[in-house]
Amino acid sequence: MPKLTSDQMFQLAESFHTFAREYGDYRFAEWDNLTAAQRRTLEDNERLMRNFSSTLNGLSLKMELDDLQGTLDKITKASGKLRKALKNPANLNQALNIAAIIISLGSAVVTANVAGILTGVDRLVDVL
Amino acid sequence: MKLRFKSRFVISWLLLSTILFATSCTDLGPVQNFADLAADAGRRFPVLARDINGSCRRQIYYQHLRDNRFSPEKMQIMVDPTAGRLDDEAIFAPCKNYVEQEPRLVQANAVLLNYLQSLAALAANDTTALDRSLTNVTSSFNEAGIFTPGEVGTVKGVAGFILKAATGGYRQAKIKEAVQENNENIKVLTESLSRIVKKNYQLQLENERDELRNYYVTGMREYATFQKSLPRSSADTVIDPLPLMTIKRQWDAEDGELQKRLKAAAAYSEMMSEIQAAHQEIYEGRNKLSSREVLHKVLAYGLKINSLSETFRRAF
Repeated sequence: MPKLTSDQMFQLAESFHTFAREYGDYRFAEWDNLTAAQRRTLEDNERLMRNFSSTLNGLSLKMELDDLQGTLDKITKASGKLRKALKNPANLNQALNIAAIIISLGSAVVTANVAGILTGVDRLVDVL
Repeated sequence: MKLRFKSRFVISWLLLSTILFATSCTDLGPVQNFADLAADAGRRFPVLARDINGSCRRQIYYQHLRDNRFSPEKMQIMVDPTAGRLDDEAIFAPCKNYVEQEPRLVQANAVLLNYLQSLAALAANDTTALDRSLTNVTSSFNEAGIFTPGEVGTVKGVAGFILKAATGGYRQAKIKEAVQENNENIKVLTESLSRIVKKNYQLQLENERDELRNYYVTGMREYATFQKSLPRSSADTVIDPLPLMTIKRQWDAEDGELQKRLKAAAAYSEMMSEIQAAHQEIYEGRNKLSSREVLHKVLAYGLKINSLSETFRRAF
């Protein structure tokens, strides 16, 4: 027999929940026409159905999480990459490089070094 | 004098650069805001995950009450597993899968939380590293003796702006890379978490709610049946309704708590959909992340998530 999917398991859980509720509705509607023993039997059956519903619902939850595991692994890896990007010295190095270029460009302007200005502007454009 | 003129020229040049960079300003505040708010709501998720088993235990608890198997000590353990263990833990067999899956469920939410926090951190305007590098720049300018102290301040401010714009570009590139790689994964994860809370948790709460109804309605019916069986002193003797009123109040109070949880579950589920939609928005706008249009849309999602997380907080 093929295995049930998480969704199918959930549908079963829902069905047992509905059965239990309908039995309960019936028991309360027919209360005065039932003997104490009949009421008790109906109540016990409702309880079994409701507990089945919880068991199957838990199984459906397990299957859903089993299916999700691959995706979770991928996202965990991606988060690690993001954190690494944040800590990456390249970030700070890039900032420092730009600062150095700005300083040298400023010096080139002050000393009217046209070649230096052009090189500085080119370098700045490259890093930005 | 010549040097002073040149220093002013440099400042003017830097100011011009600033204006040029201003056109590509990279304030990713709304992206950070959205990711922060979503992560904040996610932090409370373990309480909900624990309550799936909690709800199942309460269901069994009412069954025991109905069976008149009442012992105060035992009842305390039944509703609070941390208070000890029962000799007959087997009565909780229907809850077994919930107990086993709780850590995995918390972990799944934590993966999303961690991703969102990483995204928020990268989108944040954290200038600590930049400030350090700018201090070095200032020292260099001072040592070079090109500028007066006042002018150094101006240059520092302008250079700071340019640096932020540059690192903003770096942050954008990394965010773009992350959302591009993970858009589908985030979709799968948020849909799954939403489904678990909307379907599995809600169904368990509904089971508990029906057990609650069974406990109170059966008790009230039995009370009425018992009252009817009592010998009457006169035909006018009525059934005393006072115990029923008190019981009904008690039932309403417990049902009210359950409804809060059901609403919170619906809010969490909706939050997952909003997170998914916001991530999709960032994904679609990944090539123009700092554009006003993209940021406005992401900001709107952040606001919706904030309002939903209020409902979630009321129960958890």
